[in-house]
Amino acid sequence: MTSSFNFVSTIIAVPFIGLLFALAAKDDEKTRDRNVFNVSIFALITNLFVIWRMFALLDVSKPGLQMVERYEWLENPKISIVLGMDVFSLLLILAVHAAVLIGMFGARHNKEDGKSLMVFSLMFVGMITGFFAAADIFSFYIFFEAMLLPLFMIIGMFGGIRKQGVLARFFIYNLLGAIFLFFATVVLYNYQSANIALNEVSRVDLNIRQEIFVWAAIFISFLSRIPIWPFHYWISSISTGLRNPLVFIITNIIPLTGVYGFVRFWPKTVPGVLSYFMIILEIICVISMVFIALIGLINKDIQYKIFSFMTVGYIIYLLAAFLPTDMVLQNIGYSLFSFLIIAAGLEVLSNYLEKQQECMEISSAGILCALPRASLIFSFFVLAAIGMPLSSMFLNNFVLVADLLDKNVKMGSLVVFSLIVIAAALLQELYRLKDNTCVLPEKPCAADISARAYGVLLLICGFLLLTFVNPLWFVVRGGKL
Amino acid sequence: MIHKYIAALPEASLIIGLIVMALVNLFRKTNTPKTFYTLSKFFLAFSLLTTVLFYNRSWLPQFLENNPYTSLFKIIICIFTLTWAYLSCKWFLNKNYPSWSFYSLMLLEVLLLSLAVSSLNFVVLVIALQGAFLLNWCLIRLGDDEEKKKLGASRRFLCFALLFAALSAAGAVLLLARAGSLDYEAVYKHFSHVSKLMPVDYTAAAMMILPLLFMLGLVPFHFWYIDVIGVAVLPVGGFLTIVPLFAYVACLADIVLNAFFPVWPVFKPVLIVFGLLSVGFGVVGANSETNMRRLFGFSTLYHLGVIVLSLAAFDDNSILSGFVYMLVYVLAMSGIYTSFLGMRSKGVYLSELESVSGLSAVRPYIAAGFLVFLISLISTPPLLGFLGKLSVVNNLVIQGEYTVMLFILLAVLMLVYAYLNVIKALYFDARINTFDRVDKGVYICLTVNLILVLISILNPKYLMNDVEAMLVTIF
Repeated sequence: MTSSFNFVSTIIAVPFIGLLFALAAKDDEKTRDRNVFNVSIFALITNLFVIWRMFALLDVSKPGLQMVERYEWLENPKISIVLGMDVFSLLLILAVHAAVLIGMFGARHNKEDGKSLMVFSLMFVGMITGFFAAADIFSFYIFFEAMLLPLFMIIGMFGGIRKQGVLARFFIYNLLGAIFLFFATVVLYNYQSANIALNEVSRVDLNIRQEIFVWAAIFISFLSRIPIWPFHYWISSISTGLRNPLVFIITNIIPLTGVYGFVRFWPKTVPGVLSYFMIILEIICVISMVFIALIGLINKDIQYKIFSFMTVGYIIYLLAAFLPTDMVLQNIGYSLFSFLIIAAGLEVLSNYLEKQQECMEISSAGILCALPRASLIFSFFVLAAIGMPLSSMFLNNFVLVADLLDKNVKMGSLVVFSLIVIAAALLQELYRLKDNTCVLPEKPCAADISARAYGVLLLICGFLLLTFVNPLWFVVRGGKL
Repeated sequence: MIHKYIAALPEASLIIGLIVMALVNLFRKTNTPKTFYTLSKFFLAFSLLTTVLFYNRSWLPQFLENNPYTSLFKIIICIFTLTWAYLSCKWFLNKNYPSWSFYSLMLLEVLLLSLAVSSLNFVVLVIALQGAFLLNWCLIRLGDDEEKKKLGASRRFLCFALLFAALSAAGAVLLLARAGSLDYEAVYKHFSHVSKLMPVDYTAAAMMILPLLFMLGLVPFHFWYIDVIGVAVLPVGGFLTIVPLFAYVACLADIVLNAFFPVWPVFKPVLIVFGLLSVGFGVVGANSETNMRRLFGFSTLYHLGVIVLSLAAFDDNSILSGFVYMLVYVLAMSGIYTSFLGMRSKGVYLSELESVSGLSAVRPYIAAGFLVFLISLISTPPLLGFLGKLSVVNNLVIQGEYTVMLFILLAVLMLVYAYLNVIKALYFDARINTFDRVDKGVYICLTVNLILVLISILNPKYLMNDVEAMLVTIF
């Protein structure tokens, strides 16, 4: 199914158009950022419809990128920007849109400058959409680095980071990763005297020295985005201090860019020079995963538990990306899709519970007893997160773990162990929040989630449940509405 | 006869402008800061128009030559001078300070820089370029704040400027003695016989090139620029940062390619060392500053270093990449200086980092503009700055200068740290000052500049193709 309409550039452009409208939105004391919020939500929902239409037009059975768009950008050096789409990328774009939408709803009543938050969030969504749509190394690099600015501004302005030095180092550290990718990109470009498609990178015939430098640069750039040792410190130090759900969600989407980079660049047959380092990388990944899962279990902060859950998830997807088969790519995509929505839902609800706890002036233990709606939704998300058959994570994670066990039993066992530990950490939190032995005070500010929010969250739960049956259930086949 | 000299109109209009301004200053009693701006605007615009019209006609072919390369630089100089003249007028109006000296000196400097860019002969080059540079001494002394510091800085500047002017003149004399003529062509022919060259020839070439590096403010000659930028009034600081750079780089490329190219391999390592030192000193200095103007002065060192490192090979790719980087850098810096004009509290223009804390809450547009230009300066995509970085890095990879490229890329991380402090002050810190209303003109210029920075990146190939075609005429 082909279309003359430029869908890919449209989904990149829509958040930016929304951003312009959001900037122009007039908000005062009366409207309290309602206009900018509505504009932002409208922009993202519009994009969701476009994405839905793209799903209908994509041929799922066809390998490679579809809906390819090419723009001649520069003459000297000659660079064309190429954008394209496949089911994997589109699933991630959809998941990011859904996660940010959930985050926006969660952050709606925060007493902050809502306009800037929405503007930078839309900018981030536009950048990351471009990143997932990039089909050549230059556009990939451009979006890889470009998303850092909105990220930095969002964390700096709304993250509540007390030590500004941590924030600066976080940015510089991510920028360093981007610089390595830029280095690799320019070297590859000059070697081939042309812009290279992402799936062609591993086929470029470099000499040993160049191969080492280029692949090391690519490795470092992607690893810098994923919280594994020795790159874990800055991300964890930032993530655990964030108290705005939207900021937390956006910050924790960043490791996805590293995983996605590996998925796109990583060759199925590892170049000779790299095979020696693979085992070291896998060991580091597994150790980091076990370590973070255990800290998640010990740590009492729910925010850290969600961060641990996300990190463990990302590392599993990374290890799966290293498997010498393309078959798991769809499984990674389907699983990541639910994973991001579940993590966003968990974060928004935990933030809500934290606010209720502050209002009731009690410890959070047993707080869910007083909030039955929140209790139902929170329980659903926790159970879906630990791998119960409530979303597409269940079956696809099962396939991924089975493949990892098949490849290496020891590594697979440690992956399973980490999954059990992180599930225990989340269940421990759920148990604590639902502990019905405590007495809850009657406070006027204490309220369960509104009927409207409850409805939206139930819809999300229903959506996730249907992905368990068929991850692409919402796609109307054949391009007909 | 007349048609022969019609190509002199750009320079003639500037001279007439100067005479008219002097007469108005002498005989008109009710002059306001706007009077001289209006006059200089008119004559600069006429000069710009005639430069475009007679872009390849020369009126004194023995000494001056206009070709697409020289005209490109002259047009850019005129455009940036016009813009900065407009913005400076706001400063003079706010301060109620007489503007005659500034605008007349500015017009005279543009005239001399234009002559230097077109020159085919070292006599014209030395007179025009050194004359223009010495005019900066008068510019530095403008304004009545920080008198003592200004006096000291201007004295130091004058001493070194005279020293390098003397060096340059001595170099010209040596060249004349050795090559028998001061035409670029004759000097090129002389240096082409490398086997016959003596140490004195190399000395003469060094004496011509070094003053240009001094004017650029490269390390180890950077002291004057940082010194001056810290004490000069905002219109002067902005002018010195934005405008003369184009002329110095144009002249450097011109004399290297058309006079000293046969011996350039001897000087290339020196330029690379100066470039690397500038990059290093720039990033270290920027991190040690809390005064924004000095901070950007040091960051200018970094960018100058990148420009000369890119230019060092002096082939078509180097010239294009150096030019693109320079243009992008100057666009961003003019945006930064425009934003400075919007940072005012109780009539005082702010330059300390602490004093602009929380600006984004009160003047979000100024802060947003500043942010965009900062990000453009660190060359992060998708802003125009990325185009500069791409051109330079791609050129360095073509030259095989991997170490230099990595040094530049890693040094930018340190520069980013300094810039992040500025962003932190503007966006994350609490406000401690009240900010005055910003003039509409500042907003207009900021918007135009922002549109250029934001939109040019979407489709730079049309701009780039024409620029490339004009630049190759230097060869």
